Amino acid sequence: MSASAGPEVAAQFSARERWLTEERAERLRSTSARITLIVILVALFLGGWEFLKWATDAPRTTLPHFHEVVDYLFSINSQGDVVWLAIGRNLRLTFIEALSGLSVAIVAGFAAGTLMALSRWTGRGIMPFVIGAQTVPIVAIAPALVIWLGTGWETKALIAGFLAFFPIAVTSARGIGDVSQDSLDLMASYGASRTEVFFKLRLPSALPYIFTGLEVAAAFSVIGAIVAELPVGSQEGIGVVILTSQQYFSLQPESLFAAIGGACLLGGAMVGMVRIIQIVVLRGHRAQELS
Amino acid sequence: MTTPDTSREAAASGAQTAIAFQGVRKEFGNGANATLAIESVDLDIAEREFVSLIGPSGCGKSTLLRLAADLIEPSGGSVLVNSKTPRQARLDRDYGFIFQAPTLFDWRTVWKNVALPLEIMKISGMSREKKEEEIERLLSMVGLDGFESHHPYQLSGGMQQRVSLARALVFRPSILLMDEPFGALDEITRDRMNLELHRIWEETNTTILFVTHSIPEAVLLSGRVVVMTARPGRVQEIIPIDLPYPRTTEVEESTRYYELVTQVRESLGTAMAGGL
Repeated sequence: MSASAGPEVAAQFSARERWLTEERAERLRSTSARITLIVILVALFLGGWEFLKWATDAPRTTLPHFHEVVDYLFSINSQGDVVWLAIGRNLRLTFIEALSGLSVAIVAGFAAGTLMALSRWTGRGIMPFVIGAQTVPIVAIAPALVIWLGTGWETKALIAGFLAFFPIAVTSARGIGDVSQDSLDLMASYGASRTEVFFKLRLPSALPYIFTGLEVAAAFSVIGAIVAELPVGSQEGIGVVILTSQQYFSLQPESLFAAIGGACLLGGAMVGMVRIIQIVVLRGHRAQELS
Repeated sequence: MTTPDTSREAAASGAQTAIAFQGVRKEFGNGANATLAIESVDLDIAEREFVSLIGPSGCGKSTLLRLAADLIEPSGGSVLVNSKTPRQARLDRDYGFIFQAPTLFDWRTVWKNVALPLEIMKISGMSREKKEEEIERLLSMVGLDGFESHHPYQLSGGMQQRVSLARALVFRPSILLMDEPFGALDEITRDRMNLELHRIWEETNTTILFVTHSIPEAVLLSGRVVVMTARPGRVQEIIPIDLPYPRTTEVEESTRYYELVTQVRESLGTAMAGGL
């Protein structure tokens, strides 16, 4: 090897360096492309908004100007609060509800998914419940749950968690079950225990799947929390703000658009948070490189 | 350079048997749907021997390998690995298994892939520094210095298979079981990998049981070529390869090499005719 390998190894080295430079250039290109894309999308959105208003000749009480919504955010409401701060306070509560629900869903969903993938009998026992959970129209029974469990944040977290559970359970089951026979044989040839197979093979190879489910679950948890705030009786939360704004729409139309914008931001922040964790955790995963 | 290695011949004909198949039979499925994959296979592989299994598709070459690895169990007969049951040999980490696909873990770097067996096996008397030294030595032996922190998907197929070879050697098994390890590689890479494998075999004192589809590959690498019949797989003929060591490109150009390739091809032809 030593004599014949010289040029070959050198060739591999330069190939490797070329690869590294290309990767860096590629990363730079994709970052600037992404920023350009975001700017274009925002411009399209604002342009579309104002065009729609102009084209339909909509009055303020149907569709206010975008700048009117922005002005409203910095005004003082009837309680003497700065509007965007008040919305922020409500968002915080909804965020806590969604995050609590999501956390519980992660633990429960991962446990259920693992059992479904690895244990034939327990897995089969759980499966109908997981499927059943998915088919329950939680949005429809949320009002009933609020009546039974009260209007506290725990009820809302429960509903948020219920929605987030399914995508996590399914992707965990899929990811943990989906390892090649060769990999399993390889681990067996090392005399690896079931625990070692789980932590060194199944779990790491399942992570890209699980994070896909987690992104969906994060968005669902916000939806769940907002829906849970809608029934009469809740005092706080972005869902309450949306409902109240809708009732006073003809007086203060900007309020509803501000609340909707806040809810969108919350959903985006939740998914973004999962994305960031994913990027950190999945360093080096192939799925990461490809996405 | 070109004189036959006498110690190797002694080893091949010596008393120590690394793998012994005795009247081995393997059926897959049960009842009416059962298929007989191999039947009454008798084969002894001596320590430090390099034996290739060759035969038509579905002749049970891989089955034999998996039986020795305790990845499946025989339906009849007995398999002994280092005079132990395959299960005991597996638990004692007597063999390293190399698959046709490199079977690397994508989320691990090259270095960590090679370190995997050491993480799982509690090898006594091997310090952390010793392990790191060993990984480094093997990576350079398979020609991958400088690629330690690469991920498998950043490497070519040939380089991936080299990582898998280093990973199989890192815990110093006495036996390597190789299931068409270079079958998915292009011919040029394959040729080079074959010569490297042969060099590594000479350096490491391992016994190699090698499954292949390629006649030239089998002849170039082996001390003996075992030709198997179509399903159910039986041993058709065992052809000793009396080519000089070390096996290099010069050996590949010798007349004897061509004679042996022809001999294996003819034997394989008979084996396939028998199965039709």
